[in-house]
Amino acid sequence: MNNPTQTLEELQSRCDDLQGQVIRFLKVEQDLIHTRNQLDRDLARFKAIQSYSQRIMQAESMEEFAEITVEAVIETFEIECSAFFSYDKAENCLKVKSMFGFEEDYTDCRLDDEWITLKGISLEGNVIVENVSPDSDPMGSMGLSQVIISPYHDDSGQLVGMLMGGITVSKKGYYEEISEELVPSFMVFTQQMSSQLQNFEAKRYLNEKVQRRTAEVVEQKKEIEEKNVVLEDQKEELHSMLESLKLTQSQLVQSEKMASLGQLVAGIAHEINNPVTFISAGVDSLGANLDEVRQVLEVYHRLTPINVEEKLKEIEDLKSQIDYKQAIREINSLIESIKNGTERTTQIVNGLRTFSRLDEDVLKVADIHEGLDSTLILLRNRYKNRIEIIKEYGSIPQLECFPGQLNQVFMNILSNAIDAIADKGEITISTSASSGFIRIHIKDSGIGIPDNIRAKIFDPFYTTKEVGEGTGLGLSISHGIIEKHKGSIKVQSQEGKGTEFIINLPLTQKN
Amino acid sequence: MLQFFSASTSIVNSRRAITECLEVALEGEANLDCDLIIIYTAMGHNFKELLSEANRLSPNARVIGCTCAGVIGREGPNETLKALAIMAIKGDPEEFAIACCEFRDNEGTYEKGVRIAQDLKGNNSEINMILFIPSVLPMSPLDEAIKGIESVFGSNMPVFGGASVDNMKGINVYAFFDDKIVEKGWIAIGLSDPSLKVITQVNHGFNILKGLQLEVTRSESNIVHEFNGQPAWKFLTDTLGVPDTTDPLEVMTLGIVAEELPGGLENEYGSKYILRSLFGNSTDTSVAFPVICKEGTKLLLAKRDEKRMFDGVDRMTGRIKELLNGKKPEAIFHIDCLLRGRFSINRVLKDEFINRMQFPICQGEPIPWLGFYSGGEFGMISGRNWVHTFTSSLSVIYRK
Repeated sequence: MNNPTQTLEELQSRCDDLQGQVIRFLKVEQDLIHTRNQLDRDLARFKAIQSYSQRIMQAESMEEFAEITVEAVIETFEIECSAFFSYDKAENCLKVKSMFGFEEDYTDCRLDDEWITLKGISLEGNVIVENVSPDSDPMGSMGLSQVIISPYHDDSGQLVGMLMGGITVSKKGYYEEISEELVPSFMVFTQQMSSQLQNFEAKRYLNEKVQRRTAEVVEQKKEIEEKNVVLEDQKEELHSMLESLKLTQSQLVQSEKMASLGQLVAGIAHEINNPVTFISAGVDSLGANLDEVRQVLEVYHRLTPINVEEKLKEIEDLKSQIDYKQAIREINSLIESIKNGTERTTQIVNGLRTFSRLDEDVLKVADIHEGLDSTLILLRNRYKNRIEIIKEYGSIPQLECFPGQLNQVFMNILSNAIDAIADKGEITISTSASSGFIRIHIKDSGIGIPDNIRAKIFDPFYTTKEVGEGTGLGLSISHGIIEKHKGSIKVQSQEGKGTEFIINLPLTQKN
Repeated sequence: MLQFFSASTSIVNSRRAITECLEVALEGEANLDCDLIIIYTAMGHNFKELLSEANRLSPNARVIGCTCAGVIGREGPNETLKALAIMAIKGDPEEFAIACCEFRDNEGTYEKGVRIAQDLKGNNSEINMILFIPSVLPMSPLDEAIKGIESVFGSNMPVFGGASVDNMKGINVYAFFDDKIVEKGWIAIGLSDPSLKVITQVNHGFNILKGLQLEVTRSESNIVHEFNGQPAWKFLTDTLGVPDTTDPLEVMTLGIVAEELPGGLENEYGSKYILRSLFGNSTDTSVAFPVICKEGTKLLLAKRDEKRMFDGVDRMTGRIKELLNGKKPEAIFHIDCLLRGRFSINRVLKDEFINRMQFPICQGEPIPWLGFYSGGEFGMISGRNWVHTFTSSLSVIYRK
């Protein structure tokens, strides 16, 4: 049997051993926790570097880029302060671009060439971790106690700048000491930043280019707009001129019309004067004859059953005296003559009315033959007894047109044709229809148009007539009217043989 | 009626960080105006910039805050040196009061507790809960501070919060009070909205090593001079098998000790032991406790246990849901021991650990959540305020 005291001592000893093992286990566990924390921190650091890469893409200016970078250094490495330096080639020094976490402003700080050489900053991949003594310049004067420094270079290995993280003397105790363990991740961060910086510079260059180009385009647009304004003004001016020309043209057309009418008036007056003279003379004679007949009738009125014999004798005497039968014949003849005069006058007035259609600006369906005939009536005085008008009217449908305007064309051409025939001659007017068009030929046997003039006859203000006899606008206006009707007008002429105008007009003005 | 809004960020630029926090917290509000801003920041920020920018953005707000080893927002935990989290509060200024005590040599912890409580009560006698954030430095018996507060407000006053720290370097700790930055300052925020109540739950989830017992054989207040009749620091380092020259902060992560709670609290707390951190002083071979440590106190070594920690969190959130009884939380004030952060759990586990607290309570809703990694946590067990270490402490504010 075991000694109870010995057993208790053994148990106590075993218990102590076990307790010792538990405590050792606690220490191991604590070490594991420490290691796990380190891993956690490394993981967080690399995540922060990734996040930084994404955030930096949002930077819109170099200042913002630098600001994000220094803040990211602090966040990623849990250090107190950070500064972003750029290398100034001209002055051969590093200048602060952005800094964060310092208690005072050191943005004027310059790291000169001596310092750059001393620290080996020009060497690529040279990450430096060092303690700073308070009297060492310039880091010491910035209140730093420890720094980590990493320069960055361009593709050709030229120094571009430097990234620095640090801990100040005043907060040294709260921060983990910057250890060599930080070097690889700080280097990765700097490389990341450097490559992002290159991207940023490229982006900035592109942006600047785009902005420049945009500014140019804006400038060009402005110029175009200014030119547009000038063009608009010119257009306005032209429009106004056009309006003025239209008005002038309208006035010219009107005056040409008036001139034509002026020429016509004499002839028309003469035409009307003849029948009116018949009527006037007829009415006088008719009055005298009717007086004689009235004397006979008055005797008849006095006739009663009592004086029949007496009055009948008186009537027979009176009839013999006045040659009653002759008077009745004359009355009938005079009435016929007056009737003829009236019809002739009516015909001329109707012709004039047809010719001068007041509805010329309204499209209407009209009979071309009617227009030609009314024009001929108005011109009759100028051709009668010397020019034979031969009408070869075909069977043509009515035409959609501005009738008054077309009549003006016929007036111009026929008037010229009459003028072209010095003595006797003929004018042949023929019409025909085909394929939606009608064709009007007006051919005279006049003097013809010389070749050197033919090309000019449609020019405005061109005339071969004496001053005061023609405006020179007749054919020009006629050409315009036919064009307005989407038709065509041609001239064929042989000097000494005559001239023929051929007018083609569509049946409808749609489209 | 007080309204709460929270946000956190890891932006390194202090001005931008506080701006983002306020903008995110008060998103949907007409402007950034609020009445109180509570700021928790890690050591890397520029405190002056944080305060001046907060004041600029919300000129009518009182500003109060502290440094810490990391923050916990509704966005999750963040232990970087640029961690920042805020809680913006809107409401009647009569419904809250704030106080700050600067460090004074030779002032007792209890007296200081009384001073800050009187300051609060002088401003608002209707306070019904207190968020208390003393500095962990110098190491002082924080249970005495609580007692000081209780002496003014009564022992039923819920006191939650925790000790402000730096990033476990033990160099200095800062408190913020409007535009002032106070070294080793204490701050307290008293809420008096009568419609609000608070549920506090704490949990540690460690295994107790029932082998060697450390008995306090000589002590003074919270300073232990001897364990088992031997110089305390030497005994502790020998027991842990490390040289007595080891960094006290490193020893702290190894030498976690547990003290047995009075009977009847095990069921609510989930353990019959409460944990104590020890901060050694190699010069005079003493060890400092965060609470009064009487001679004769028996301590056992404790070991972190991941499974028990996670199980404990589940248990804690289950209790909170039970106590909320379907009510929606208005805000959560969270304190987690800095040794439950990156010093003991890796990032993935830590995220999961915090999510295991947030999801069951918030159910995916953006409930304002503000927490920090501390040097000691406060939380009630069975209606009594306790000082804890190595724990998670959740104080859930809800409307009655």
